[in-house]
Parts: sequence; C-alpha cells; structure tokens
Amino acid sequence: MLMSIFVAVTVPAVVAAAAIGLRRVLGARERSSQGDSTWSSLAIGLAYIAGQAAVARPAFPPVEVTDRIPWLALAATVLAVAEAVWALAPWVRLFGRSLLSTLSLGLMLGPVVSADDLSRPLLGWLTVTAVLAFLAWLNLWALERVGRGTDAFRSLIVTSSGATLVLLFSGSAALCLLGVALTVSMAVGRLAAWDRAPVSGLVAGSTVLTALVLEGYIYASMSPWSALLLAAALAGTWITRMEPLRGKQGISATVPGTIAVLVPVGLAVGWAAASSPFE
Amino acid sequence: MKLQTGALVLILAGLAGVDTSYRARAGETYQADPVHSSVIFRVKHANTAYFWGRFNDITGAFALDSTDPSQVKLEFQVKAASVDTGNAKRDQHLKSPDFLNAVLFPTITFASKSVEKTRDAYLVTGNMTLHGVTKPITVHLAPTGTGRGPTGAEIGGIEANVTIRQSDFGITKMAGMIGDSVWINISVEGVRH
Repeated sequence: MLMSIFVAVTVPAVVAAAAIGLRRVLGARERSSQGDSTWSSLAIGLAYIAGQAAVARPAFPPVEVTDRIPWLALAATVLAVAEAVWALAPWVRLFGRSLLSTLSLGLMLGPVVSADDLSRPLLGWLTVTAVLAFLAWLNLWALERVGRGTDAFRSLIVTSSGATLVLLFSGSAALCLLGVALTVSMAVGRLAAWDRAPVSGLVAGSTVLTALVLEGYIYASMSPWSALLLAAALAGTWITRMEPLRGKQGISATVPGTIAVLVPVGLAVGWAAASSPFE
Repeated sequence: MKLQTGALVLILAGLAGVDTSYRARAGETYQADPVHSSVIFRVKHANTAYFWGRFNDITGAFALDSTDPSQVKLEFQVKAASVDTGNAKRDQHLKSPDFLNAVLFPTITFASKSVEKTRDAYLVTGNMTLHGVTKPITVHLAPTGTGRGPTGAEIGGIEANVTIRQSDFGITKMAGMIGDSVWINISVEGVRH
C-alpha cells in the first residue's frame, strides 16, 4: 500500500513538472497565455493519465467504469487544448464542455442505466445525480467566465484533496489512490506554472474529479451527503465575488475563498469518516 | 425373522460389492435449495494467513447420471453482493470497485460444457463469469448423496471445488495485499424435479 501511495504521488508529479518544464525550455522566449494554457492542460491531463496507468492500469477495452476515466481525461485534455489554441467563443466552449459532461455522465452512469432491473426510483435518483453533476460543472464554467478561474482552480485542488479522503472512507483504496494522482497532478501543475495559473486545467481536473466522485457514490459506498457536499463545495468560491471581498486580490481574497470551500469539504470528509469501511 | 432377512440382504449386498452409498438414475435434475447450499472461499491476506468467506445467495441446478457422465451438468448463479466475511466493513470493501464491483457485476455464474469422469468424481469444464470476464474453468465435482427431505421430496447433493486466479478475471487493484489464488467450495443440495 505504501508503495502504491508513493507511485500515485511521484508519477503524476514528475509528468506534470516535466511537461511544464519542457514548455519553459521550448518557449522561453515566447511566453504567452495561450501557450501556457495549452501546456498546462496537457501537463495536468497527461499527469493524471500516467498516474492512473501506474496505480491501476486500465483494461483495454474498458471493463469497469474506472477503465473509462483515462479516456475521459484524454477527451477533456483535447478539449482544453482546443479551447486554448483556437480561442473559442464562449458559447462554443460551453457547448464543448456540455458535450464532455454528457459523455462523462454517459460513461459513468451508463452501466447502471442499462441494467435489466432499472426501477423508476433508481432512474429518478440517477437523473438527480446527473443534474447535480452538471450544475457543478456549470458552476466552474461560470466562475471562469467572471474571471475567478484561478480561485476556482485552487478550490478544485482543495475539493480533490477532500474527495481523496472521502473515497478512502467510502470503501475503495483504488479510487483513493486515483484521487491522490489527480490532486498531485493539479497541485504540481499549479506550482510548476508559478506565475501563470493553469486555469485551463479546470476542464481535465473537474472531469476526472466528477468521474471519481460518481464512481465512489454509485459503485462504492460513498454517502449521498458526502457526494452532495463535494459537488456543492466549489460554490463556496463565489464568496470572493461578494462584498466586501469583491475586487480584492491576493491573500485577502484567497483565504476566505479557500475557507468557504474547506468547510463543506471538511463536512464531507467527516461524514464519510463516521462510517469508515476499513478493517 | 424380518430382521434376520434384512441383515442377510445387507451382508449379501456387501459381499457383491454393491455401492449402496449413491446411485442416480439417468438424467436426474436437481434444483438448488438455497437454504441448504453453501459457497465458501479462501484467500490469502498480505501473503500471511488465509481467511475465509462465503456468499449467501446461490441459485442453480445440477444433473447427475451414474451411467452416462456426459449427462452430468452444473450451473449456478451467485449474487456478488451477498459476500459475507463476518466483517461488515470488509464486505463493503469487497463489494467496491477494488474487488467484485458488485453494482456493476452483480452476478457470478458458472455453466458446464463438458464432463470427464474420474475414479469417484467428475471434472466439469465450463465457463465462469466473474467481474464481467468469462473464462473456462474446470471444477472437481463429487456427488455427496441422495435421499428424501423433510417434506418427502427427493433430494440430492454435490460438492464442487475449484481454484481460480483473480487476475484472470480482471481483479487486480489490490494485488499486493490479497493473494491471486482463491479456492472456492460449492456445496449444493437440490430438490429433484
């Protein structure tokens, strides 16, 4: 287990740092936000995929829903790179992300929907789950649109950290390790980007995080309340748009924004820990 | 007088080498009685010690024929979510995507395809579906007896065991902590059709 944790931390960290380092070497003379966004998206997406391959190598063709997550990460990375390279119009970006969300929900919820004994209450519950997941994505997109992408990315890292613990307490060590890989990918991507925050990493990060939480909720034993709190946690970032924090930058906005996300994440972790499954 | 006659019959039967322990007539099919059937398994934890578990929900059927081994059949279905190791939290872990993924793959099945007779048992080859993967396996099957149940119905029993590798069925996420080989014993009491 310790070796698995070591691998889950090291592999994505090395890949993310290497990708952004390579960007700095190749494009040292021509720094641009477009180039930074492209490389950040690639770094975070590829780092996660490498992490999952090292921790829980996916089967091909995919057998479990876990095996589908690297493909979702790849699709999200391609979309994010396309957004960065072609400077797509907002409505095109929203359309693309909606398609990605629909694909994610289809791949993660599809096996349950296609089961023979699908009942109406189950279908209703799946629909609510899908709607809440979509709203969580929409929230992130809205934060990015109003210029709070950096805060949203930081909040995503915090939420991913909490989700990692929730997944562990929900009965799946494997999903917890994948959460570690995701958190490390985003955190190292953020650190390595230094002065250019990898806002574009929101697409890959949120797609993978949602997939992991959905899998923990539907296929493991994640409590509905923990799942709901994780989905709602990112909404806490909006506090930075409210008075008296509105317009403030730096630590005076960062700290309250982070705390507003930490509270629901902490509650989610506590709720899951109360019924910890591990012997 | 009757007692002496009966005893004489038994003595003569024993001298003739008659097998009085079990005899199934041609093509007898038995429907599994889930209450009196068991599925247990043994696997090594941390390469150190074995622990045992069971599945509580089994359905299926078997057919026996002492004269024509090709008529011997075995099929069973086990609910993955019925795994029971005596520890609710470990059971939860076993049902998670780390192992059985009971939500995605709710049923473990086996259906026989061919049979080979051994000295006192059968080697039954068939397809086992576990964790969404179907693989051929060979099960050692032995009839354990026939009789009549409390309601007077004819009943029969079999015991089957097999060792499988979890990695053959895609269960690899916790390979370091749980042994790959799993020994499974299935003991089924069936009610004759």
